[in-house]
Amino acid sequence: MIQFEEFELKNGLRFIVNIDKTTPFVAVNTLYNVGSRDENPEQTGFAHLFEHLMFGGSKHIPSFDTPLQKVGGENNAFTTTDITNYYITIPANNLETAFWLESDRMLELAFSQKSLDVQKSVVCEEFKQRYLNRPYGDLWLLARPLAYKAHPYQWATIGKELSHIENATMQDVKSFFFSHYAPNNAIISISGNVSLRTVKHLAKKWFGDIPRRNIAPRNIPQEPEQTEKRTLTIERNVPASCIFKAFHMCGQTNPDFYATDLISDILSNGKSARLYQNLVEKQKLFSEIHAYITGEIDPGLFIITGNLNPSVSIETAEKAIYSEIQKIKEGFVFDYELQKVKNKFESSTILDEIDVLSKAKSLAYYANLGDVNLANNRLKNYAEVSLIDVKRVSDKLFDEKNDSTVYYLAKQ
Amino acid sequence: MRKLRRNKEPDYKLLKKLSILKPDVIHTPTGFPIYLLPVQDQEIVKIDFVFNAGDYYASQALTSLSTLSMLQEGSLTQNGEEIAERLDFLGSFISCSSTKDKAVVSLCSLEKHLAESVKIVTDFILNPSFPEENFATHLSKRKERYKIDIERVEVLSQKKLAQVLFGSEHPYGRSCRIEDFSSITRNDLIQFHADNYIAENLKIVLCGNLKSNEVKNIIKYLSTLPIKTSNKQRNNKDYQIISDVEHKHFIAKDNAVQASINIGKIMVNRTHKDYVPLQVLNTVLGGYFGSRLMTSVREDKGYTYGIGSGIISYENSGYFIITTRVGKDVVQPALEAIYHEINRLRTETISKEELDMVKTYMLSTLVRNFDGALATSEMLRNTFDYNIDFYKYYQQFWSRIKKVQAKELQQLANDYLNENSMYEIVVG
Repeated sequence: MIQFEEFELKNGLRFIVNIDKTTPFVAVNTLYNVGSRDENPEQTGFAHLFEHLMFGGSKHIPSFDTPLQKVGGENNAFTTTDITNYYITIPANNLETAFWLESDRMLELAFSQKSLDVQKSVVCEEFKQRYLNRPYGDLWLLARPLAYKAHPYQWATIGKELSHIENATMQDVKSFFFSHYAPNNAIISISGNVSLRTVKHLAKKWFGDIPRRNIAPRNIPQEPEQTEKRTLTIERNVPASCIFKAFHMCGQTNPDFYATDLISDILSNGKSARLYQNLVEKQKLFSEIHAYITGEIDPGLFIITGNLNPSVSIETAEKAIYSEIQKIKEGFVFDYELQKVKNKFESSTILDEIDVLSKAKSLAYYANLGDVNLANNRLKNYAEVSLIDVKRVSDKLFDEKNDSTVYYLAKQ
Repeated sequence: MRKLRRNKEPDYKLLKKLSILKPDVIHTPTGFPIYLLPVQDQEIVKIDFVFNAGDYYASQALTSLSTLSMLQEGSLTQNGEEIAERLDFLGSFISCSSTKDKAVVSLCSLEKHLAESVKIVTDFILNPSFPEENFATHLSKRKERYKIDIERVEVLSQKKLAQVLFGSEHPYGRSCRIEDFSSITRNDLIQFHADNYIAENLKIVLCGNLKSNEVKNIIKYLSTLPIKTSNKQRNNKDYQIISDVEHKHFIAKDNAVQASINIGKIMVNRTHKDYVPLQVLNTVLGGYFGSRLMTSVREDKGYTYGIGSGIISYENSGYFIITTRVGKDVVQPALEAIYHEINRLRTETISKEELDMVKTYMLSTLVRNFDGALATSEMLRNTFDYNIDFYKYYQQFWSRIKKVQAKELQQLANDYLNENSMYEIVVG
């Protein structure tokens, strides 16, 4: 259970505060409500490139990292399809340094040409390192456009191609900043050894005079219902063939989200889960196999992916997966099994709450989703999922018409 | 209200002292110790079973890791599926991790399911059955994973560096080869388990609410754990480090779009008097985001997504390593930039400003590493490889960082970081 207080500044910036006196540190998490789904299809990878630029100096402060390191702070950031999230942990005494730095880059960036040039090159190396220079690295680059035809989830956060990043100009960067980075499009959550009074005082002092901005209206094309199975077969220089299945699922705010997540756990969370026990241990068709959800805000994907053992055909592998999901569709799930995945969810949630940073991240994430109480209530929502829900949801989910599959074959 | 001066940093305070949770130690009748660390306000319990049963003690590369991962595949009373099923139902997490020197089984459990979870885990640690069929599956899984791993430039260059530094016969230099998967047998595991998973090699670390009855009962249970002792003198081979004569190695990988660079040399380990100042020197060079290597190779030149350096400390040796992946077209300029930064440490004295920042970074990282029982338990485990007093060691670590002088670091750079003594691996 994470206790918290909330307040909002006049410019629309929201703060959520959890006091934790057991640590000498404080975590400050700043979430901007912008992700790769907000990008122009001709300029993909921008939200993420922008995340890199946020470390290249702001209006009054030439370097973000140096003054933070000087006072014992650490920071990093990540970009997803939905959000861009920056976080700092710092000795609680020096909370003000975090506010000083974070507020100046919300106010305005330095917009340095050198920083833009270098970060374009760094991001291109990141693209190569993560997606091109490792076995199976391009799977997601192939699967997203197969599963999505209209929604911007069809490209990965890193972007569709290197050229989109290479072609970014300073003008693009400025316009992206002023249409997405604003107090009224951000949430700051704090967890650690601080007092609410101090946080309120510092919030007003450092963030109070940052003007509201006009946020570009979000106009995201929704994905039409898929009407037939889609497949893509490719050959690559990899040691083993792989099958990658994506089924459209509901969005994060849909009540069926919890049942969908638990279905992925029944299939794949832990060594006792069905896919591992049946397809790896007993039938020995796969060397590894996983099921998980992307958990995005708009309707996301339910993924089943596995690497085939040598001499297993891709048809046999696919049949085995279908047979496992057919069992779930037919209601062949036990009470005991559902209880098991609920127990697992409970203990991993409790484990997560030891750490100030994961508490802060969770508070900001659920606040942005629309209900900060979900940070605590989701436990109850998971607990309420019934076998009937599992059957109903899986029946719709695992429809062949809803299936997009990449056959990623090892070159002989 | 006064106008806000945004270009001036706010006042700040430096951390004044390191407070370390001091573990209570129980010396069990069988002879192994149990370290106890108190967790506040949480119903989570974590128990680590740490054995001196790493790769160093095995005669071939796969034995130690296979023995460790096969423990949970079955005991004399339960098969692997039953074990997995029950632990998953209890919401308990098992993780098995190994280093070159140690093999660790960790259990994380809610207090309410602690007793049952501990009994399952101690059962398979003490009485594993190593079932033939599961072992075959395990090997085939690992072999598939291995085939994927060796397609990665960074894995290849890391393996190559260890091999040229220590020699391929030394356990710190040896790495798994594809033929090992066919030569290892079930008997190797049974023998390795019998020789190494014994009371003399065991230390237990428990983090939990020490006041609760569930936890107290488990401590009692663990204190009388019927683990075998051995009266055999351990057969500690005296391995020779035989570094390669050739310092530069290149492995071609035609389809790679990035090259992996590893530069390193044999270095002192945690027990040496120069270890802490060398860690400071390493941090300046490549040990944090603002390091000289990151600043030059990433933030100034944009050659890489990341670059770092570190000192790896083993029980019987250690090594220094710089690691990065860069575009294939910039390998030469990247190497030049790296050597330039190494040489600068030898020819220039580090400025007070930079050294102060690095010290602050390291001191606050140290405090962070002792934030709570779970974090502390990992630091405690780090000292198990060496015969050192945990509490005293880290208090001295803290004060030694504070005392380090720039002149001294320059001298150390000349003693330890000579460019000609470095080994260089490029794969790409």
